[in-house]
Amino acid sequence: MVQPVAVAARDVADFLYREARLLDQRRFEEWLELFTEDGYVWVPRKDEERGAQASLVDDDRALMTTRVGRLRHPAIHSQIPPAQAVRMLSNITVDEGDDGEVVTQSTFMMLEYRTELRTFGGHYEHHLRPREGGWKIAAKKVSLVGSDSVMYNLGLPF
Amino acid sequence: MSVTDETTRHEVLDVDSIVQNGRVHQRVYTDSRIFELELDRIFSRSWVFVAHESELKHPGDYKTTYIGRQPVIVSRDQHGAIHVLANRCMHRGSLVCVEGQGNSNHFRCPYHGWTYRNDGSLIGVPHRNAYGPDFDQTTLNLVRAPRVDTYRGFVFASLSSAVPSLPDHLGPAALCLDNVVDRAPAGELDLCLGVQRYEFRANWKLQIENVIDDYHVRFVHESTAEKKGKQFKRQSGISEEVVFDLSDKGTDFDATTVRAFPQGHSFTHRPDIANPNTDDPHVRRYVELLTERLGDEGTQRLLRTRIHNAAIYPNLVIQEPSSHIRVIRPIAVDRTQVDVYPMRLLGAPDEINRGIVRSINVTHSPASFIQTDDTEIFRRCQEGLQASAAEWVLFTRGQHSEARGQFPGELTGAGTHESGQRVQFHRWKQLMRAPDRLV
Repeated sequence: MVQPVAVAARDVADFLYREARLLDQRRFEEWLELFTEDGYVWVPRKDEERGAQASLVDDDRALMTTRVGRLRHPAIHSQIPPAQAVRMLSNITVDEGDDGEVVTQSTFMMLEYRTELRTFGGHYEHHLRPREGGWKIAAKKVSLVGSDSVMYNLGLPF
Repeated sequence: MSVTDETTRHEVLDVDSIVQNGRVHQRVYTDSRIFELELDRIFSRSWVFVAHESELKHPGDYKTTYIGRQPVIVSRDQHGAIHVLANRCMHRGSLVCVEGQGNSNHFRCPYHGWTYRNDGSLIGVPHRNAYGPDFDQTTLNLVRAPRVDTYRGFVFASLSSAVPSLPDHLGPAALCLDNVVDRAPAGELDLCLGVQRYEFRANWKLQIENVIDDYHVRFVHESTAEKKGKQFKRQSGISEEVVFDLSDKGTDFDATTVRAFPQGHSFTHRPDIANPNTDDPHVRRYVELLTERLGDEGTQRLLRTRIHNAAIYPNLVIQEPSSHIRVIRPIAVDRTQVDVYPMRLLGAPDEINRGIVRSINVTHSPASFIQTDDTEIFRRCQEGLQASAAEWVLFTRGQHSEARGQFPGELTGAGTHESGQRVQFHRWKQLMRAPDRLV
């Protein structure tokens, strides 16, 4: 008999790779649809409590929609020319979360080029909720290496 | 990288040929030699913002920062006094403190263990007897900023003693600090909401010129306009009137005013806005709490005025609507770092303060919707300015209609005019002209 956890791990990895590929291909609207209504993306700056102190990104669905809309705007100067990026992830582990959720941890790197080549990397934590035979993302936390360093023009979702 | 030396100190700069009536030579943004002179004559010869008292709540608290390019420690000693000390061991020059902030009665240099009390005095030298009988420890305390003073919680320092008093330096711009402090029901701010740090590849002056520039908003931030042309709302309860209307018909280039002062400071504001949206229960509660301290009339008067950005020359920006300050740090002629501190309004409802955090994330994070476009424009300016075949940068907007303001030497105009930038260069000229004279 196939162990449930092993099957889930393969499916989860596939889901995460497809999420990354949507972003690589700038299919931002489809990427938004991967999230639950109450879903959010959080990129902390340091050890802050979410919402209590400044974070690099703390987007609910409404802010994610504004962010994506802006990336499509013809006059978004900081993305003219648009940044290109690819994302790689590995070290994927899968655990049971609360309320039937699946919690997956992984390590990622993102290579980005706009005016110069830049590398970002760190740790993902996704909370996935079973939906429609698959999953939706209820929460995505991106812990960047050097998150409290001085940066500029982080235009693309990690 | 060049070093400010005795030659630089006495160099005579022909400031009258560089800063002329309504125009500035592009060299001020691209010439490394001028940048080095600025570090000396502007950042080391005038009051600069270094800390907020809330970062130094208890005796022993300290933070490290920079005055120009000089690393300093700002500390509060056992008696409550604030010191600004060169973060530089008097022996062989190492940084004595590498932490951004903390609490300690002393700092121990990692190189040879020389130890300084947090007021800068040298209290310990290992194997001291290797220095002869003439060794006088009292001459080897950490170098101190000779002037340190505080205005309503904002700590300023000067590496030169030949500066006017802090209140005289601030002049009428002090009301910008009053304005933001008074919006806390408890009359106090706290920089405990974290920090955003961003950098850009351009000259520091492009930042301080931009914050009192209402002309750019409609164009640079066009991508933040939603369907009806209005910019997205940043936090709950904000009046519709103070959300920028970026649509063609909504853009009123004369809606705001700039007030500019001879000390180099300026601010943009709308003197008469509608009162905040008290349908929001958090905003309603906030107004009630303010009224407890300021009374009905005082509260109404405070809330009817919107000071958008105040530029306190050379390194401090205060933005009242979103309750934050920005500290500008020059790194190189074409590289600048900005630290952005959202400020907790003590006594305000929690949701109001959470709104301040939410706002800073979307406006001034390196991933923000607003500041990313400003810094891209600065980068394009720094690159465009390499075309030295075009010599002049123009600051003539509103020059013909500029009016005298309420205070001596004050100039005013529309917020989309350039009175703010003109007084910045007036002050620049004053400071850069005189290497040896008192200013």
